[in-house]
Amino acid sequence: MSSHATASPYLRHQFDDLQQQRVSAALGMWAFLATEVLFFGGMFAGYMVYRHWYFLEWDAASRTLGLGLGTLNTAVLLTSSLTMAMAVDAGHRGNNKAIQRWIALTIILGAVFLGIKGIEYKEKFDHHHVPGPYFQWNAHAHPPGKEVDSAIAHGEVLPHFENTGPVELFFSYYFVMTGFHALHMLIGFGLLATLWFQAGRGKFSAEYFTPVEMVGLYWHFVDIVWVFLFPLLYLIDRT
Amino acid sequence: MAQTHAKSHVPLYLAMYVALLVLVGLTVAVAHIKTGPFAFPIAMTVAMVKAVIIVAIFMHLKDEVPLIRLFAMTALLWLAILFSILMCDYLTRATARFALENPPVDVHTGKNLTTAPSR
Repeated sequence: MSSHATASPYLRHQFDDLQQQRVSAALGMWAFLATEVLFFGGMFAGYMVYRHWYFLEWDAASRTLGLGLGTLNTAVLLTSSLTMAMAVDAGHRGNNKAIQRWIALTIILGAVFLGIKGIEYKEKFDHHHVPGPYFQWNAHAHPPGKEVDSAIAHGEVLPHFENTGPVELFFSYYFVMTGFHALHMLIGFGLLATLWFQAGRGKFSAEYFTPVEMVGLYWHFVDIVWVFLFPLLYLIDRT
Repeated sequence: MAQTHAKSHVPLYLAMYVALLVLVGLTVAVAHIKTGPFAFPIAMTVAMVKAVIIVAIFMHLKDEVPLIRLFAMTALLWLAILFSILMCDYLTRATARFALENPPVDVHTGKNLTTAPSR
């Protein structure tokens, strides 16, 4: 890497060269992502404890989640990770038009994910599975024949519990964990939209596309959170 | 890093994307098979493989400098400390459901030895 002889317009003065500048940004991003891992890690830790304590209630609550929508959403989010990776790949070639295209696709896929999530949330409200004063479990065993989530179809009713607190707790974890995940995606939309405008003004080149790369890291991290949320919330025990 | 990225990664990305989708299908399919106590470890193993693919390929951690790889790994280290020490506590508590439903009894008198009554 030559530095001062051919000082790049992208090089900030505190760095020796673009390589060092990029590594500094990546290091900071990974340090941030490590704190994010622990932010979600605290919730996963609480999940572990209660899943162990209230396994039967959590198992029953987990089966009410729509497996079809959950699986579809997982595929949608993984696809958005692919399009994000393609945006970074376009960055390597300094192709701002391609960056814009892939980022727009990523945003659309993210919006589809949140839309499906919204349908799932709506279902929870309809079934009174939202924690709070209107929460119902035993009183509302799905009547056979009514359209219900795939896993509890076949006329099967919800198991009865003396104390429905642990069931409600599952839904609290469901809403808080998926809610924080969705919040991270909304923040991601803001970041992606910023990149889209910057790419539109031709800001990036093969020499400098660090922001695209860093937002990519963030987006992939949010994807990984879902990779763990999906089996933990939807697949506790379907047999 | 610019030099190492000269060749296109697109075929690799597509291959990894297909692998991720296959893993999603696998984890959903396995969830419908009765695997009992193995259900959780299997689901978590599949999730870990997916996470490794995303981190190594999409986030290209495998091409990063050692310092960044070290930073990324520390996240796992803290997480391991959090989970292992927490579960050392909760899994060994007398108030855990298993202990409540299978209370320890004195082998001679058959008397319930549990001292913590409520959870």
